[in-house]
Amino acid sequence: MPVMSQAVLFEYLSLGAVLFVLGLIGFVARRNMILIFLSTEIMFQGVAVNLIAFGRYWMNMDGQSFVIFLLTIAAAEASLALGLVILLFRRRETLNVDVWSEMQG
Amino acid sequence: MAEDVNTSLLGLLPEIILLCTAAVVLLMGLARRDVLRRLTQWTAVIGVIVAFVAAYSNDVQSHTTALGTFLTLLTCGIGLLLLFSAWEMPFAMDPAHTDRHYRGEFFAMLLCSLAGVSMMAKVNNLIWLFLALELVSIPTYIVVATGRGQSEAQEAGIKYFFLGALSAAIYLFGFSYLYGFSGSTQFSAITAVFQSDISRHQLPWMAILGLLLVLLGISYKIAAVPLHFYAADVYQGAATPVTAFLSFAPKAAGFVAIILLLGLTGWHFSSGPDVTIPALLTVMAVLTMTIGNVLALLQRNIKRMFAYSSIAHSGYILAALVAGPALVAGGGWAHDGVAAALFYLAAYSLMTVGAFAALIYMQGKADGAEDIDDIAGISSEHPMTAACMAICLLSLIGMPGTIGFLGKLFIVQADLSTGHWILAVFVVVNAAIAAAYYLRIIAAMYVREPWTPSHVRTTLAPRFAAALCAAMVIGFGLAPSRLLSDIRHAADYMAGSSGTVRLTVFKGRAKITSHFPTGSFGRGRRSSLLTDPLAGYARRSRLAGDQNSCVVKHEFIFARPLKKDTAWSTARLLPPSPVLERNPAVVALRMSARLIVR
Repeated sequence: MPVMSQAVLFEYLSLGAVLFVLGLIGFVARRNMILIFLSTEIMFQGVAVNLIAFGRYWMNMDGQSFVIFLLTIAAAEASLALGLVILLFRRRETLNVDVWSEMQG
Repeated sequence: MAEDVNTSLLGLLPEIILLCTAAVVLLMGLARRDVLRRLTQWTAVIGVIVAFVAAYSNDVQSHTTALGTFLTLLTCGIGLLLLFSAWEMPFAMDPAHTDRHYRGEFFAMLLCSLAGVSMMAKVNNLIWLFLALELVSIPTYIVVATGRGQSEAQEAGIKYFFLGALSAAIYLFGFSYLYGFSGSTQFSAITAVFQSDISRHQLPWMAILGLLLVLLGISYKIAAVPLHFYAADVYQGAATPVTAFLSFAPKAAGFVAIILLLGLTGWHFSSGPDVTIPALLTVMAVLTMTIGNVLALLQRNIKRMFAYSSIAHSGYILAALVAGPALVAGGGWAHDGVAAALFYLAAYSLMTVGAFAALIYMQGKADGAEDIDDIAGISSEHPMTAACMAICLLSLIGMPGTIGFLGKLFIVQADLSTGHWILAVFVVVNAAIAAAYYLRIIAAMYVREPWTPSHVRTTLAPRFAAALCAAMVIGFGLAPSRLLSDIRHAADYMAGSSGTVRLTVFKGRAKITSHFPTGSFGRGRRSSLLTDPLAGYARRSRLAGDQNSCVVKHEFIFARPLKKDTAWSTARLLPPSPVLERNPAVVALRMSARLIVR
């Protein structure tokens, strides 16, 4: 297999960074709880793209094994997130996070 | 090979015990028979005690580092106190139906999280570090959201969870750049790359950006600026035993993660060429302690006040970390920022858990007292508990004779001896500001008239935890030698580099070979060539390693044949990292180089 050049590596890194920043913007701008959670998932995917690209660049398995663990944890967080969203939806009948701001100061 | 895996797993025995107990407790908590469900607390306590004893045994200690053993013992000890504080959580979740809604599985989450904290210092790989951090965090999201029925708890849960996921994404992005910079997730290999690169004037942008993002992400776990703002809402919303847990578990895990990650970079403070990371840590420390203390002054709600005080204490520990590790392993306390940080972490855990345990007892089953007026004049009704709380609060202020005083003393000493006097001044001024709001609680308990006369009596467990904490706060404050020697030992692990360095000089070439026996580098080699025409030499660096060791070779090729004084300058070409600086071999080498010149 040909070794990945730095120019190609930077294309992948740019993709990872774009996904990460899009997720960050989504996290700040969205008000729907499910969409906020999906924004963090997009950030995780940006990390995964980075890791795989680096793994290919250095020709070792560290990056790919990292991604497998990353996906597992992301799945655990997703199940927790859905459980929480259902818990909150039952109480207020809405997915908007703005109704959940009683505590101030 | 199988035997090898068995012996290396032995170092993880305490964590394995904690996780197995968590599984048993989870099943028992769902049992049909009420008797069995009520045994969950005792099972959890026995599990933590067994893990504590296991961490003490020589067999386990020989397979882990001193830092790992220290953190495991600290986690099990504080974990036991936290279990006692949370003793009645399963009833308190729904006071109306204590029997039908008795939820024993609450303790399983605490045990999982404790196992994660205990594992933190034993990791040697970025992947492991990530898994340990998430093992600490994910159970805490659950106990915050389901800890009590009020809608505040759910609001706190959703805020804590979303920001937690965001911070995880941020530090993971940093991890990916650290991996991209070094080509490995193994700590030993990353350290070797940082050391071979450190003689450049500036670290590559990828390493700097990676470290910045990692620090930013982990500042969430320790509730430091810039990701500190969630703390007040989450501490207020969660049930009080959960709040006590939050002030220990994520914080301990986050600080150990920061210590490990800064250890990777060789802590290039003071002699390091790049000042970005130390400058960032300094700014974070100053802002964290000042913002925490000023906002704590404005609070009427005790839990919110503790949240801001927890932020402030994170600032103190960051101030200790800026001082960096000791220059010589086994040296005095004065220069050792890591030992000061570990000591303060242990001290803060004891003081804050004691204060929360007393608060839990005063609140009673109904989880009522939140405002400072609710505990006014409580000393006449519960003199013992009020005294325990007062001792813990005085220790948080830093009164002489308590463990909190020693903690602040070591931090100030470490900062002054390494030339960070601005930080030392900030720590002292902030300690004075903090006294105001802690004394307000003490004054309310002792001086004011009772506001609400009757308080519900509860089980004795939280009171027992509070008394134990107060006794240890005083005991370790007056006779700290045992704790100090353990921490000394743990911090030396960070200070001492166990590698060897050899310098050979022959005509126009000088070779420096450093050898790191710990950890695994993975297979393969890497080489780089750096030419520096001004200094008149080219540097060829090679990194090579196998499963058990890692070798870094720098070969300097000089334009002119080496003379006596060049031998000296070659010795100075060694990467100026404090880790190497502290190595006895390097010190001997520099001495001999100096002798050649003479």
